[in-house]
Amino acid sequence: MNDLLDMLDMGEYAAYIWASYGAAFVIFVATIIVTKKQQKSTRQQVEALRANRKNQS
Amino acid sequence: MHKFANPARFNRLADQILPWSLGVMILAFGYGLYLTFFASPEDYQQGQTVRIMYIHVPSAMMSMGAYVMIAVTSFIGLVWRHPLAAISGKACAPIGAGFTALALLTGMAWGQPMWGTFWIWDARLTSVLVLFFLYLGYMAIWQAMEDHEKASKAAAILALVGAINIPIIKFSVNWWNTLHQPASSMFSKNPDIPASMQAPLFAMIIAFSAYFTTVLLWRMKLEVDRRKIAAMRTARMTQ
Repeated sequence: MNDLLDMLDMGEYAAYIWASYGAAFVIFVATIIVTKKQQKSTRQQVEALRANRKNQS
Repeated sequence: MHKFANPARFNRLADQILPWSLGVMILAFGYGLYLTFFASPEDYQQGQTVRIMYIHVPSAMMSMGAYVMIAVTSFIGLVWRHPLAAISGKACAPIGAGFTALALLTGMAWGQPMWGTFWIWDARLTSVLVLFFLYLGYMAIWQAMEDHEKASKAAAILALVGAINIPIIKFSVNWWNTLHQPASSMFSKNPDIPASMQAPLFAMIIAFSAYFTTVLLWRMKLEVDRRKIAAMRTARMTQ
């Protein structure tokens, strides 16, 4: 527990350090979420077009 | 190389690599963050702000690495017309832009307490900002042009012209008198960085590389699907 509290206490520079790690987290997670969402919707479109083609033939 | 021009073959290879890159990414981030916050000391000059370096340095390295990859694939795409070259360049750009934004933001967060300013127009900072705009321009070309062929050519030309910025970024601290410090030697026999600080840095470099590989493969698979949709729509219209 003390280790964890020590970790969170970055002294006078805490705001700069946690803002940097926060920015890294937001950029990484946002890129993954956007990519996964786009992947899902594109996959659905491919499946829909395939089904459409099957029905037509 | 042309073996992987077949989308099905590329997708199979990507599906084999992805679980490994995802696993390495999770393990390296876990280990790297543990070393960063629990097992590395404060710097005698920078104090706790040295911990910003463990994400600033890998993001700066990856921002340049991703751009070099775009420039190389652009060259391959222009000369050999390899279909995956344009796909990988397009997939790479948002990830590279993210790394560049992170390098700029973390550099600013480190600069304020250490230099007394968030920003200064010195050669290193300015050339990295130019790199960020090059990424935005590259992505804007892909967004603006509907014709894949024309977009890939225009984007490739921009990427190749912009590649001149990479050596400028790398050597700016040697060529000009900058506030940004010169590169530290990490890989020599007598590195400038003590082992206790090298370990978290290496772990984070591995984590960032694995993240890049994972997201790049996801985005390439996405682009392959988008091409598939475009081809199916064209085929339907010509019927």
